[in-house]
Amino acid sequence: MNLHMASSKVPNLRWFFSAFVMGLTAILVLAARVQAQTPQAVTDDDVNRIASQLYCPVCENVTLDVCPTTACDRWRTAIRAKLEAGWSDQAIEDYFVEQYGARVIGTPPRIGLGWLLYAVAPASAIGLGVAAYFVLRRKPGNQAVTRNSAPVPTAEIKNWREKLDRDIHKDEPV
Amino acid sequence: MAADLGFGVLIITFIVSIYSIGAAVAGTRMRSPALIDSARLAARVTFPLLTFVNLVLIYLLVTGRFEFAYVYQVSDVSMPLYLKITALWGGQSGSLLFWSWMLSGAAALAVNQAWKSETQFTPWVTLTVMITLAFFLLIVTFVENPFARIWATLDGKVFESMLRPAGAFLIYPPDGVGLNPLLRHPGMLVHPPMLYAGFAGFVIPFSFAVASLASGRSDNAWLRISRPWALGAWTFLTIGLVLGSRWAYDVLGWGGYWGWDPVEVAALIPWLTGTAFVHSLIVQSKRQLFKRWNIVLVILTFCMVIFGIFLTRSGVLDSVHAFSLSSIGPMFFVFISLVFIASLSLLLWRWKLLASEGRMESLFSRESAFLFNNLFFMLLFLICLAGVLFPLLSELLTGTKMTVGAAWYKRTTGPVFGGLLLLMGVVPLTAWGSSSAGKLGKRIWLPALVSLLAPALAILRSGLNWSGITALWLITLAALLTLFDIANAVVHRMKLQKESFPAALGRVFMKNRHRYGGYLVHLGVVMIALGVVGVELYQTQTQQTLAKGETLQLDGFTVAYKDLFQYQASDGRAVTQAVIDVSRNDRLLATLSPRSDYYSLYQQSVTVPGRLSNLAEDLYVVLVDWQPTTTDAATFHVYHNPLVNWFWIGAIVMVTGAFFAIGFPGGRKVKNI
Repeated sequence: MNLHMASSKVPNLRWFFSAFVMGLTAILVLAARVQAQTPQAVTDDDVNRIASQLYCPVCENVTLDVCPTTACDRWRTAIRAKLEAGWSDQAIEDYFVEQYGARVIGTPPRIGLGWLLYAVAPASAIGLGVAAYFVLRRKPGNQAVTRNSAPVPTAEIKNWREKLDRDIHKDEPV
Repeated sequence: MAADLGFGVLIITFIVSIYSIGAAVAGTRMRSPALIDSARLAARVTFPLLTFVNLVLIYLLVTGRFEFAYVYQVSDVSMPLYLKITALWGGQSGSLLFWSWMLSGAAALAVNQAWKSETQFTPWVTLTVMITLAFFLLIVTFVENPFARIWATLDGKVFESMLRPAGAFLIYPPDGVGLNPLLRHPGMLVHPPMLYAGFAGFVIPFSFAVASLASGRSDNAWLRISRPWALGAWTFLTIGLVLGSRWAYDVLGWGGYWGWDPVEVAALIPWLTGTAFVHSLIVQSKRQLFKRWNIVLVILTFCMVIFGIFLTRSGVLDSVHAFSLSSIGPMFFVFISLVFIASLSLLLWRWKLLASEGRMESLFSRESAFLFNNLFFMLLFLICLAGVLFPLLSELLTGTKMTVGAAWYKRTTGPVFGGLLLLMGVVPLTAWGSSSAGKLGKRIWLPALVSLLAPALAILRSGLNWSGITALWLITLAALLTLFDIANAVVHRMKLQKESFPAALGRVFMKNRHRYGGYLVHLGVVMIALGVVGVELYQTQTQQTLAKGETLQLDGFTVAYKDLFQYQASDGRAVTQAVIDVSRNDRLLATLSPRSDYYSLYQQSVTVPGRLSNLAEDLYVVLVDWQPTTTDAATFHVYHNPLVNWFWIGAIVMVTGAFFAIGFPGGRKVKNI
């Protein structure tokens, strides 16, 4: 009887528990959304995080975070304004590329000619590896190396040791 | 009068260099020792002549003769004497003249050396170095003349010319523009001369290689003579690069020492090929291998030296290090192309003659290890060359100059540098000739095991930073392998000779300067790598605006903004200097004074960071901005650079090792190889 009563109450509890979890999830999601929409104070570090990835369009090869020119100061202000407006890092980077061209990013995009730059290292590594293979393969030394199983006379070992000592103390480049 | 004399002697030097070329060619064709000797003497005469020309330009700079365009552009009355002298290499034409002088000095030594040791090489060495010198003298004399005066006409036009244009009159400005503020750093006393000494030094191995090819020699004579030149040039180039890094760290205020700027990379490229050469020449001398490869490396290094000067001086690249714009680019381009084609043709002509006499017998032999070492250096060379050329190529093909920044270089070169570190530790443990993985493993296992402590400690201290852990493991392994090998030799000697540890250590080093000098260089590289890893993988930074009395926190440091004051320096700088206290755990560590110097004439600021330095770290504080009227609030960029000072210590160890290996000071004469 008790068992029956207990089992008949289970569905109600399940409903209650499910509703509780769903409600809690909804509250958490809403809270997260509210937090995301609340303007966060943008720090200099936030600005520099993006500015350090962008190159000054005026004075080349200097990143925006360390460029002392007035123009770069304005661009840093623009980054701050966009961060405050809720733009993502990527959106800001894209904006600068759109405005000033791909030259403002230090890593050229992997499109068109940009691929050439990314192909250099692997292509060179493969090319040099193949060259090394042929240089090493040219040796008949591997086959030529044979082991002499006959015991080496003690006197010969002594001579070798002396020669080794002499060699160790001989002026020889690394 | 002095300037006219200087210019006259410059023209004479150019004529003498042309004569030397002609006499060398004629002497070879007519088999006339007298003509060849005459060419050699003419080459030697260029050095005192150019010394005189340089001294004249220094005289004009020191005495403030601002009617000369070069003096006007690079000096002013308020500059201290040492800066006026160093202004000799502070601008385009002066630096080209200075480089020519260094080259003539190296040429004078080299032709004499050839005459004394390998007479057969004399005409070709003379010809090669004099063609190079004549090219630079052509530019200095006719295109970038440091003795050009400033002229004006009544209708307001201003000219720079050596001779008076029709209807023009000479202008005598009361003061000059002055040296670029970024160059007013003590490091600038030494950085360019070291770099140029390295560049000039690498011309000599190239000229001996050309001489060897032209004379049809297949022996190692050219290598024997070139070796000290290559090592010396490499050492000076290393000093130049390190000083440049230090200058960047002190002056540019970005918290680092190497920004992968195109001009930095242009100077690194010949260093990479030169480093490959100083390793690879050992293989030729010991095993008669890599004969063609060494010639290729020397040709590449020479061309990259000229290419580096071309990139820096032609104005094709914009860089924080490029202080000049010029139209000499096409001349350089033609010269490099001709030299490259001519020297490669010469190599192909002698290709069969240069076949290797030895053989690679094992994958684990020392010659194989050197081969891999060279492959890694070549890979770095190709990556750097691609990075430098890509902006130019993209502009040529698409009309847009793309930027290849530090992020790309770091990502691409990082693993290669890691591989080189590993090889650097392993190579000295390998044996010449036949060897096996087992033999090598026996020598490596113990240091490899001990080296695992480093990543363990790094994880405990800084958490899981995989790149950092891998790098620190490689560094420790390379250091331990080198130290174990030194220890082995010392212990062996202690047992054999019954010597004390210091005596055995001293004798081991002194009796084998090449080998142990090289080990010192390797230990220096390990320390440099430690500094690099500290900055690249463990650097932290923050930028904040503080009111007086406010503090910021970074990695346990508390930086408190105390005061800010402004004043006018005697040399015209408007100085803004902050006073900040740095403390840790409530203990005051130092009071720093980061400042910003504004040069109104240049409309340029120079950042002088405040630094708290010790062996473990650097706290690097930059004054970014301040409230000009109240000075109540100021913005600071603070960098925490762990281990960075090992970079400079490592550089000193590396250079000391290089000098030790060359045999300076007090070394016995280098043996024939």
